[in-house]
Amino acid sequence: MAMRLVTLKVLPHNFAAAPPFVVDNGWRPKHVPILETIPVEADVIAAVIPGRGGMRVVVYNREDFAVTVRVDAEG
Amino acid sequence: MPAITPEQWTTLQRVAEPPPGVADRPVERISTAPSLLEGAGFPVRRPWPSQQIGFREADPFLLLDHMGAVEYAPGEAKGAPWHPHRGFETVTYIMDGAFEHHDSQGGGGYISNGDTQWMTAGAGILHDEMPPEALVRTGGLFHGIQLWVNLPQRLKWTPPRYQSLEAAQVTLVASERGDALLRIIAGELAGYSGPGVTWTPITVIHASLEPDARLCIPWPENFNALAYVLSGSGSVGTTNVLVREGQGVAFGPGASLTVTASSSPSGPNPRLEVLLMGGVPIREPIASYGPFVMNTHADIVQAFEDYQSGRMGTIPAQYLSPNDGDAPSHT
Repeated sequence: MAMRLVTLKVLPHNFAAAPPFVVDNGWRPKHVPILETIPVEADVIAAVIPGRGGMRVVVYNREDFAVTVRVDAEG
Repeated sequence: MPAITPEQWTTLQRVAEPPPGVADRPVERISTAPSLLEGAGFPVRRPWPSQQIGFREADPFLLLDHMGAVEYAPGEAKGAPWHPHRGFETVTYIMDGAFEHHDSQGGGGYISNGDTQWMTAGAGILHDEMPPEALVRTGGLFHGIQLWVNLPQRLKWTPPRYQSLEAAQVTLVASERGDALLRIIAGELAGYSGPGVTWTPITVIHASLEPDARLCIPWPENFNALAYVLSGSGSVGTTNVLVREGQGVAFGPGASLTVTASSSPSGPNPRLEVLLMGGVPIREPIASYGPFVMNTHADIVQAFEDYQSGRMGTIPAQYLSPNDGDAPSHT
């Protein structure tokens, strides 16, 4: 599946979600790599969880400042 | 609707109507459920949480999803692939069709035609809910609900567990007039108990009303009271507020509930099919994000971190396909 890169601005100690992506019945959750952060090496984590409209890549920002995060929104 | 329905209702035990003078619960809020897609793309209608019926009105319930009724074409049936839950219970009641489920603790089961799966996610679990291969292959009717039941703070970390409530175990009683069938799935109604064991006092009933039937039942005053119309139309409360398929109702205080079926129904099923539910409100702060429902933001962050790191469980190897070499490769 082709990557669909999205950029999320995540507020400090907060979540941000990418738009839902299409999955089929055989889909399994996989590791979601953080492709880039601004500032670099910011402490953020990502995972796929269900949300309104389907599965979404969600990022949590552990930092005390806002972080811009680039991820593959296809999970 | 194959949800367990006996040929004769008149032979069932009857639930007596409350005596005159008992305060009937008024209708406080009506919610017309919006449609959305869930999981791999199955359509649901969600009457709550909503602007009209929020967490406060629904408490101790969190969410209701009405799945279908939908007639799937071959290859069209969708499910909810592997995902986590923490802090509450999911109650899946299938009226038509079937779901298969598997979980990160190695459990699994098959829910169909009147069965209920009552899953306490508690401290956390990963699971999937899928249409069986035969339903995907041939298509067919699918109709069910999923209800989320909150857990109080003291029980959020309880170990996960399942209750498989088969259709034949459901307690069947009739209204006093014999024109309404009551399937008690969990909790108690007028001394009759359903098979579901609940952590806090809760009653969940699926009622079928013949055209023009009037159902009036006692309802504990310390419970909240909610209704959801699965199909058909009718009215609720003593002031006869009109309701139809896809609408949720939050009742005000009182000691009885009244539901009346339309005398001139339209559609393929002439009966009014309605879910009735209530419980003692938990009245604790709710912090929720996606599949996690806890009490504080810190609890939610911990749930997300635990899921992301694999501490909430992992998918058993037998459910990983050969090309899933890195799944679920939590960091």
